[in-house]
Amino acid sequence: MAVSPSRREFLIKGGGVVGLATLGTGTLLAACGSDTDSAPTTTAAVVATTAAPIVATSAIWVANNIAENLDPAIGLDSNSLMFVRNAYDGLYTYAPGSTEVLPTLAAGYEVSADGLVYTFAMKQGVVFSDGTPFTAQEVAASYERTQAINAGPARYFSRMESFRAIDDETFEIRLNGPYSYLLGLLPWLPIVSTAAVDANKTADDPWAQAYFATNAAGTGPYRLEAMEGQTKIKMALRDDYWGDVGSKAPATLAMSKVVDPTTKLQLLDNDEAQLTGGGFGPAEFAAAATLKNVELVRQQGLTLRTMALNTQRTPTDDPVLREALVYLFDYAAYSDYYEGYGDPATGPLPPGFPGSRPSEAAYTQDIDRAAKLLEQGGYIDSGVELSFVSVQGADFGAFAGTLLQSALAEFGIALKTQSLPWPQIPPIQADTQSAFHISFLNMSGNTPDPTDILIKQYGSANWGTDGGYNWAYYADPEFEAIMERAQSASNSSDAEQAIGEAVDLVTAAYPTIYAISPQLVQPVHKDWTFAKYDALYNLQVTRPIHYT
Amino acid sequence: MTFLALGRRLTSGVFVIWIVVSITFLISHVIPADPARAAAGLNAGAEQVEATAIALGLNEPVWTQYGNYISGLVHGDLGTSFSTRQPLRGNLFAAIPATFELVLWSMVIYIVLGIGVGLCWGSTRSRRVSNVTRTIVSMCVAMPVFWVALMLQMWIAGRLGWAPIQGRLSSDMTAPAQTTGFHTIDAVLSGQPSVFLDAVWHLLLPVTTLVIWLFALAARVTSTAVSEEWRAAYVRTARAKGASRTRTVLHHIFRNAMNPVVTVLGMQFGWLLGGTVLVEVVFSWPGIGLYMFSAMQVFDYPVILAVTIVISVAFVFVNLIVDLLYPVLDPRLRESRN
Repeated sequence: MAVSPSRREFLIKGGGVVGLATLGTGTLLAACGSDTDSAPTTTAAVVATTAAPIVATSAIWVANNIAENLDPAIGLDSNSLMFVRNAYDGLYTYAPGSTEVLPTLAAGYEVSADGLVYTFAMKQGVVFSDGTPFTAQEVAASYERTQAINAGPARYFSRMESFRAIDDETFEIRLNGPYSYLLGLLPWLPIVSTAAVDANKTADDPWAQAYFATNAAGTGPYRLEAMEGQTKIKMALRDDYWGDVGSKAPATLAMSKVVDPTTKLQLLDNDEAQLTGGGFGPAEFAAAATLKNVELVRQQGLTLRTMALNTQRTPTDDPVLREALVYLFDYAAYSDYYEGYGDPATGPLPPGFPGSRPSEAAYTQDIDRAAKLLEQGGYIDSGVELSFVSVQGADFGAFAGTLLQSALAEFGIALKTQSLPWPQIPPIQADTQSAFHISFLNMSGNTPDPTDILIKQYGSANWGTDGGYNWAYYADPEFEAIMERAQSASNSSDAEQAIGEAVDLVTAAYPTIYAISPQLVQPVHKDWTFAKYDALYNLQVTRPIHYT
Repeated sequence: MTFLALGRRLTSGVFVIWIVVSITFLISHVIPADPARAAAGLNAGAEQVEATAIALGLNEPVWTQYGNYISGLVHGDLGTSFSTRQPLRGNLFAAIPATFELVLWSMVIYIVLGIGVGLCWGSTRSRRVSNVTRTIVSMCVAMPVFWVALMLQMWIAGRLGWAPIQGRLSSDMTAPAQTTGFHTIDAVLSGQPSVFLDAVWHLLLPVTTLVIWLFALAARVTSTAVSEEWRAAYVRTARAKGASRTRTVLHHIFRNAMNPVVTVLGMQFGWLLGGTVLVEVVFSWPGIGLYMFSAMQVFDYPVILAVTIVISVAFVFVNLIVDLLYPVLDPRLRESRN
């Protein structure tokens, strides 16, 4: 949940910014209130009357990287998405900080009885930033363009057999199999102006990629003002935006590349930046607490830190050893590392994700149980050596390895830990016998579809040998059948039941140590604590029109 | 130096650059890694990774890729960025002047400061001055450059507000029309004094950091060279003829002591180009160091290769200038070469 300022804080800040007149009103209102929470309706009324003057008319978002190619058909990383989310719309969007899907350019939809054909009605009166009107033809052309470019977002077409504009107001998607989570894919497919594509395409560049790399033509709330090299992007709020921008959307939004976390905090503290992207850890959160103008926005994270246990290589192919490893890991110490900025992991779905297990199911270290299992398997002082890998630069991965290493050492089992650059790891994982026994992996939900993150971890087609992230090399036909059932379920309770069955099935095989679910924590300027981040967009992305 | 000798130097410079490029290329392509996956993005499926590999030519044998790369270089094509999918030339050429502006201003200041302090240090008879200088120089050497950068940023910029925290220009400033790419020079050329002052203000902390880092070596080398020259016969002669200490230092010792100093300065220019990375990261200075740092985070190998080439070319070029300077500074070398 985002940290909201108390009413008193809110009024004091407001007074500081807008001068004596507002300060007088603020003081009066503060005097009428108390420090404790009051009735929501009263608070809402106060916010509504004081919100507009409190917020500066410009916001600067600082992050390690900003979009280097502005084309929405290319970028799928969080840096690109910060731009894309503010310059473009899809047919649907995610509600900020949650997995809920909301209509944007679509006015609604109908689905056929067999669940294979989705028909969408288009919103009327929407115009692109280049002034051309939005119709269903633009949706079809944009989807065709994204599919043809075949980068980033193109992966979300895998479930579509075809799509077409029936007329200007109606768009149809035909699926290659029932898939009840289709709407959750659509926010990843932004719509671009067909007129801009046509005006800028060439024989060598039929999709105008060169133009869209440094220009934008979308229906989003902000228009591109300037792109200064690879270090700054300036955008301005559109006065002809079709939707409600709320009372707190800044008139200008700049994205600035700042790599060093200390520099980012300094900028926030000196009123030179208002929002941040990722790149912070518990150490920076502690530093932020010492700065007078910096506060933290905390939301439920939709990410898991996991350690995949190789089920195809001796000795981790033994479920007894895997179970012992799961109970040997010191979850409390790992949680301490996160200094309260992480939630206990309960299984293969991050807490807060549809179908995730309740917090009571969180794993805890159980040395006695682990000792019995190790004894049962004959592993104690047996000379067994296990291997562990984490990504270089990700200290949280290396620390998990250290915890496991020291726990195993108590039983005379060696764990050889390695941190490698990311591109070096997949080639090693391409063979189950060269793959590490234990591989640290960060698992994020990119859509509200729980089957996506489950299949990513345990789908038989997603083994590391096939370029996927199933580095546990888990395979079970029953799991695949349950996934199909969940994806084709006609109602959410059937889907959730299937997801529950899959989670139980997988966890019983102990293919993974679920270490923690880090919270989504972003330092922001103290006047911007109402900022909301899109958890499904890789932790860093925020759309200021969602601020309330 | 004759044209023939110059030609030899240039040829060997091209050879050095080719060796550096080849080694960097082969290291980045031979180590077991999956650049196509990095280029396609972490969430890309196997099919997309394969399509990306084909699009970027990463499915070709290493020698074919190498041949294509060298052929592209010869034709001025530095390659395509994995992350932007665009030719990286534009972004690289935008970053180069930023780094060169930072490096050149730092060089100018530290040469003046380092040589000046070195001359005084090597010539002084005061033990106190010598000890104070030695202490300052030792402190400068001992402080890690990133720590100095962070401290300056946190205290001078953050707490005191005497300098900007980051960037080349304030956010409300527009960069001057590009002639040289140096904001300070372009602002003067376009008659924008406010932009010039803002650019200088933004250079203050990054340049100070680099000067602190480099100054010690220049001061020490100059001091040692000057001390040795003081023992030379021509200095005794000059002093016997009544030359003052100042005149002896400036007119007789200075020029003779400069050869080792020029060698060190030339080397340091090359180190600076590669060594500004940390300073550029801390101060978000949009130069080639920051460009390469960001590329390394996403394993954008073509960018890393291109920056390596830029640094190599600069290194070779500066070494050539140093070679040309030797005979100018020392007539004995000119005569021996003739």
